[in-house]
Amino acid sequence: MTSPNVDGRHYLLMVLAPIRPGEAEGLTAHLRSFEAVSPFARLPRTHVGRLIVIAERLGAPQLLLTAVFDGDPGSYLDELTTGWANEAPRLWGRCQGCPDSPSPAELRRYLEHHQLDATYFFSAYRDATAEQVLRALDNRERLVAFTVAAQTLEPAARREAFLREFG
Amino acid sequence: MSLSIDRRDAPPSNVVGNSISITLFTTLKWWGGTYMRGLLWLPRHARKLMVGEMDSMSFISFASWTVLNRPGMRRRLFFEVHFNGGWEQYVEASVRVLTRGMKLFWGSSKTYPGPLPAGPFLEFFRNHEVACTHYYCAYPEATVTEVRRAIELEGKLDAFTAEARRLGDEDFESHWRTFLGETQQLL
Repeated sequence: MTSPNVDGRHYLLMVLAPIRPGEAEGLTAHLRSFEAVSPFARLPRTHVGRLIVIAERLGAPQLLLTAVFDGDPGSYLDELTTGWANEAPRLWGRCQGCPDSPSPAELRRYLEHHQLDATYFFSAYRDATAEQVLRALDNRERLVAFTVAAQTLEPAARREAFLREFG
Repeated sequence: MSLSIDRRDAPPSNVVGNSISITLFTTLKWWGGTYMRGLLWLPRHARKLMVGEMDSMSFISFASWTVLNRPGMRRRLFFEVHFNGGWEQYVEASVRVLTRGMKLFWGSSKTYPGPLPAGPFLEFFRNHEVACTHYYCAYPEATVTEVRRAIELEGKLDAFTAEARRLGDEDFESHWRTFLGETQQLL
């Protein structure tokens, strides 16, 4: 049976890790510093990603990672643990049971150990990869611009311009 | 259903471009874990029946429900949703469209007030919400409708481009007009 974390080509990864005492505030400040450039942008299979410090709701403070991405979780975790090697000590290095400066292999084991399985996951366009969505949005924008610009062209020039743009 | 973009009522950290997320942790009643697992097993086998209405609303991109049962924690329902529109609009529209579904999905949580009137339900959402600390979306300005239209258009554009390579100028003109007519609602 398909994993409950899967809908079509999309996988929902959720990791809930307990934060060490006294570290929640520093972790929150560090996550807020990502506002300009998100580390998720370095993982091009990602559709959406979130990092949340849950200070009180679950008793002890927890760090929640959720990400919707394309394909299998193993290779995504490999990309995350190597691509985020510099961030890891300031994220999960502040969590209980994780080494201060985890190696990619140690971090992967830690994240897998704290992973949550969804009971149900829904995606509205489950068969489209992030790359396909971005390309489709870009092509749609270009087609709108082309349609407007091509109105004044002669038929031969219009065909030529179309093939130059999309062919 | 289309919703205008209104981000004023969502915490700023839950918003990126036109995309908004909500994270909820509710406490389940004693029977809630077994009930939710049973209930949420159904849409995996009867998707249209269980989440068809949500799908048809076309402003929810991703949603998940998770029964959280960790040692040392009370049994919780963890709900995450990504959508475009306003926070209050989302909850109200969901309540109006999904009244039956709301009771099914939230009735096993303690302090659930019922879907209508929407006021107490909005309060229930606010009381159990956790704000994002960092939120990323790969295509933050695109709404769900725009993404779906762009994906549908992509296939038609590919087919027309392949056709255009084989056509002469005059035939291209008539096919171009047909193509525009067929795809107008997707642009």
